[in-house]
Amino acid sequence: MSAAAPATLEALPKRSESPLREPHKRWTRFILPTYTMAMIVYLSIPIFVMILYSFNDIPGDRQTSQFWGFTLDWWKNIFNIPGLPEAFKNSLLIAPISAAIATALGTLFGLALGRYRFRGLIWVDFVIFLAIAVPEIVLGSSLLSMFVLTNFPLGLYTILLSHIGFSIAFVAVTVRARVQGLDRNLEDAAQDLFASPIVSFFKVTLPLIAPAILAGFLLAFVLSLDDFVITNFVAGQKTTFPLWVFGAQRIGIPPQVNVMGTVLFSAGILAAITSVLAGRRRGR
Amino acid sequence: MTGLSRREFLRRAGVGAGALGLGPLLVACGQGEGMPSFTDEPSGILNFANWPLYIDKEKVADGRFVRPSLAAFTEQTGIQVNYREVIPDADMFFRQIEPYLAAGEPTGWDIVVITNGITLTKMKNLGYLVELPVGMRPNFDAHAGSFVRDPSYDFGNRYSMAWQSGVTGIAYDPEVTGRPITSLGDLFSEEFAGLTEEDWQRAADLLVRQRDSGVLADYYSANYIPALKRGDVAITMAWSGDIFAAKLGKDLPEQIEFVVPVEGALLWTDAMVIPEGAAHLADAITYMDHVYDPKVAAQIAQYVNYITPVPQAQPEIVKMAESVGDPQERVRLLQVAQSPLVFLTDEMAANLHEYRELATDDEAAAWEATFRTVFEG
Repeated sequence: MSAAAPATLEALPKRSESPLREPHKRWTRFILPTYTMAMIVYLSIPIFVMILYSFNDIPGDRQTSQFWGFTLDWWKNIFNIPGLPEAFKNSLLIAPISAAIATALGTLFGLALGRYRFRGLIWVDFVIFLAIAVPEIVLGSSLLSMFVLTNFPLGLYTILLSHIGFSIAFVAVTVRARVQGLDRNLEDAAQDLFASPIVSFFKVTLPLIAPAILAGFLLAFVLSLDDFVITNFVAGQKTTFPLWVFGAQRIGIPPQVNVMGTVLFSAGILAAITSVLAGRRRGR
Repeated sequence: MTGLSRREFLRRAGVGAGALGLGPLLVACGQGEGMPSFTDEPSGILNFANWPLYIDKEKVADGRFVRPSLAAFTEQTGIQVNYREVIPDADMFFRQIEPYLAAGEPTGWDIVVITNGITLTKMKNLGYLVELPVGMRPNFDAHAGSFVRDPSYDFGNRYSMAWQSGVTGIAYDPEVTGRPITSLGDLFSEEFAGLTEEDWQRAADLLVRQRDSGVLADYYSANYIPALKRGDVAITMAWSGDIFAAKLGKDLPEQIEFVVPVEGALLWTDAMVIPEGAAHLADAITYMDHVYDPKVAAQIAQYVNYITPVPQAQPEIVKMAESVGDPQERVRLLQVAQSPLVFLTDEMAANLHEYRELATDDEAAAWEATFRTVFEG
């Protein structure tokens, strides 16, 4: 949300260059930017607190509410908590793989839904909606029942399968929105110029929907990274970053959690910026 | 529900799944060839599910972090411990293994640590716990503290042995209250409501919530520690380990006191249990008894800082302190050894109550219905 806001703002002055608009600018033009900035600050305060406390020079090894001063100790000793690095690694392993597979499948889904009318379209639409709307706890417990019934051993594979499962719908909706907004004439034109359907897909359609695919990928990545409820059901002997942190809360959270949170956040910001930049380039 | 009918259910489910072409995945379920027993030779493997940060760790020479008590156990017994910090919450963890237990299939775990309470009772009543061999735990018989023997949730420790315990008592700041606090009644005393004027509303809110809830309001989140530190609250209900760890971490001023009120305080215990279907029973009981060796208990307690089930770990921690070179570390170990929050004093121990066991599902439902509004309101 907050990442998309600046893009909208940038688009504003461009439109006001049109001769139809009155050139005179009033004070009201400050309302939207001020509001947006306020919202961004409001939403990011907790994140900045998390980042700040990753530098907290606490005397013990559990995070405290007081800020004791600045230290890089926790950054230097990021892997010093047995158990936490493994959980973090599992999260970082599952997220990109599940996002990639969900993106591949979800993109095809989105294309079919956005482009073609076919028998059962309404039902497919409904299933997609259902996959997004169903409470996680229901999904988690049914997945677990399914794995138990089929004797499928729990572990990274079941986490991966579950994450792919719930991410597909999100990618599909994102891609469908872009496909529906596409001008079909562009593809027709390509085919008029003797491009085969396959060539026109790769030369015209795919580049046009690429920003939506990237957005879908990032969405799936983030959903996988912070999923707690479903993962809790299907994790078996493995644990992921959110599961570990939740459990550690009882004894006291080590500051390395803040460090890893900061690393994840920075990676997320980089990815979001990439996505916005890519979107802008393609949009032109 | 008996094991037989569960197995029967599964066989039928298997037939259904087989019709769907899933047959090959269901090989060998519900068959009990070579049932494991406590008297077997240990197999050398132990799958142990625990909460995060609930066991000692230490940095070794090459910069890696290890769990010394587990490493020593492996060295002594040859049993490799597959130690996993997979329990975020007793109830949530139970939800994950419940379908396996219900289907009569192995959960993959040999020891799991569950807090005494609704989940543990439910597991016991549904027959999901393996009965422990009473004669096979010499360390437990010799060293277990009175407060973890014959607990109300498990008379005779037939199914469970304590991992660590804690007390829900009162923590207070004597500089603010001006007098020692002794009873639960003090928690609701008007006299402490308006101590710091600007924080009055916040303090009052907390106290009101406490009065409304009767026993527990906001404790799980450990929100009371910052509040206590800032002086927002002069007294609060608190978990012993939280207060001790916070004092040790200098998150709370030295003067903060933790007391067991005259009315008594709640003792809770995280208990080691063996889930039905565990494959390595001999290894499990070996380990469960092993941690009742005072040396091992000392090693774990000095890191975890909750109440150790082995009172005789105290002199062991003092010995550790004497042998350690680093003066700072020595002070820390002595602090742990002297803390009534890790080693209960006799008068504290005499004044403890366990959670009342909710014997039936109906009772548990009634309890939840009564208190849910308090937690969530």
